[in-house]
Amino acid sequence: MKLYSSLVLVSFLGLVAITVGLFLTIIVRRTIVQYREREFAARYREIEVELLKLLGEPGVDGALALADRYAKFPHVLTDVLLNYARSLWGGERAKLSAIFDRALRPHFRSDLSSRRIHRRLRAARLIGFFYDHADAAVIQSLLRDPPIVRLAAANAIAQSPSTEAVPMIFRAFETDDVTNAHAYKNAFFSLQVRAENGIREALRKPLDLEKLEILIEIVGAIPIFSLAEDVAAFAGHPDKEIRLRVARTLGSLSLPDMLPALLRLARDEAWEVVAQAVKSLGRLGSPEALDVLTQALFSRQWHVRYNAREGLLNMGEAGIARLDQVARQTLDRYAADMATMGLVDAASKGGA
Amino acid sequence: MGGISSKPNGPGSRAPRKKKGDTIGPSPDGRSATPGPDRAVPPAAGKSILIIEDDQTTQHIIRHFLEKNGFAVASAGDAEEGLRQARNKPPALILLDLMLPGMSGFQVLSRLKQDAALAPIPVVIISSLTQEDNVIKALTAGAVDYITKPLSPIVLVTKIKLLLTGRS
Repeated sequence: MKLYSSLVLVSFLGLVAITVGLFLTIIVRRTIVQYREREFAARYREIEVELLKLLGEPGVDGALALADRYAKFPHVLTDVLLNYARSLWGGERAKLSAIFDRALRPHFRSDLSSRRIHRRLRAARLIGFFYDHADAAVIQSLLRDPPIVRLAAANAIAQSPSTEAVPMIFRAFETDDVTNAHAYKNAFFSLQVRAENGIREALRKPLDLEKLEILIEIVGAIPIFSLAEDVAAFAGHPDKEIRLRVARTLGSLSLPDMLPALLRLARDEAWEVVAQAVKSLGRLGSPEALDVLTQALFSRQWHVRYNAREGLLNMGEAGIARLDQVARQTLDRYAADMATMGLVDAASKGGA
Repeated sequence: MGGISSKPNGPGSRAPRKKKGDTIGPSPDGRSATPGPDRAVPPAAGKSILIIEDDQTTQHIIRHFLEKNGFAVASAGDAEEGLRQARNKPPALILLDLMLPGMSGFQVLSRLKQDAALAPIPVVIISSLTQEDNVIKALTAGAVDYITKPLSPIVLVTKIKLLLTGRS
C-alpha cells in the first residue's frame, strides 16, 4: 500500500513537473519571439526613417552608406526594400537597387542557389524588383522548382521590366502541371500587354484545355485588343468551356470586328455559350445584333432571355422598341414577361 | 479578374504597423524641408492634403514628399477615419486609395461628392488597379486624376502642385 502511494505521488510530481516545464517552455519561447518581433519592428522603423531621408535627395552616396550600416540586418533590410520597391517607381527606385546591390545581392545569390527551399522562396520574392541579367540562369532554374517556389518566382519575374522575363514565364506555364495553371494568372496579369506575344504563341501550341481557357480569359481581363482575332479563332472549338470563354473575352474586348464571331456563338448548341454570347453582343451594342437578341428572348433558358433583355436595354431606343414588340406578342408568355420586365426597368430609369 | 493585384503590407508582410501619433520623416511644419527636384512648378506650400491610404509604406512615402514640399499632411488608414477627418478639417486636396478596409475608395469618393461642403475638394486616386474601367469609373465619379501604384513621388507632388494652383 505504501509502495502504491509512493508511486502515485511520484507520478503526480512527474506530471506536475512536465506541465510546469511545458508552460515555462511556452512562456520563454513566446518571450523570445516577442522580443525578436520588437527588435525587428524597431530596426525596420530605424531603416525606414533613414531611407525616407534619402528619397528626393540627389545621388546614391547616402543609399550606399545606409547599405553599409544595415548590411548586418539582411532580413529587415530585405523587408524594407521589398515594401518600398512595391510602392515606388521612377528615379527613387534606383536608390533601392543601389542598396540591394551593395548589401543584399551576395545573400540573394546564395539564397537563389541554396539547397533549402525557404531560402530559394525568399530569393524568389526579390527577383521582380532587383532582377539582374547575370542571374538569369539561376532564376530559370527556380521555374523548375517545387510549385511554391516556381509560382513565387513566376509572379516576381512578371514584375521585372526585363524582356527575358516573359518567355521564361510562358515556358514555365506550358510545361507546368495543369493543377498549377491557375496560379499563373497573377503573373500574366502583371505582365499586362507585355504578355501579348507569349499568349499569341502559346495559343498556337497544343495545350491542355484548362491552360487554353486561362489564356483566353486573360486576354479579356488585361485586356489585349490585338489578340481578339487569335481568340475568335477558337469560336468553333469542340469544347464548350473554351467557346464559353471566347464569348466572354470577345465581350470584354467589345470590338465591332468581332461581331461575326459573336453572332456565330449566339447560335451555339450549348445554351451557356449562347447566354454568354448574347451578353457580349449586348455589351457591343451593335444594331446588327438586334435580331439575334430579339430572337434570344424566346429561348427556353432564363439566362439567355435575361441577357437578351439586358442587351436590348443597352441599345437605347431601337432595343426598347424590340422589347415592346415582344411584350405585346402572345405566342410566348415567358418572352413577353421578360420583355415587360425590361420595359419596367427602362421606365424606372427614365429610359422609356 | 479585377482582384488580381498585389497589395503591399498584406498579411504576408512583416512591415510594422504604424501607431497613431508616430511620425516618420520631416516635421509637419516643413521647416526641415529641402527643395525637391520639382521646384519649377508653382508653389502651393502650406495647403493641407489628406491621404486616405491603408498601406503604411505608401502613406509614409507620400507624406514625406509632401511635407518636404511644404504641404501640411493628414492621413487616415481607413475610409471612415478619412471621411471623418475630411469633415472635421476640409483639406485642399484628398489623395484616395481605392482598396480600403471596410469601404471601397469608390464609395468614399461618392460620399465626398454627395456632401456639399466636401464636393469641391479635388480628389486624386492612387491605386494599384490599372484596368481602364476603374480609371474611367473613378474619373466619372468626380476624381480629378488617377495615379497608379507603384508611384513616382516626384510626379505625384508635381501634379498636386499644378492642381492646387489651377494650372493642370
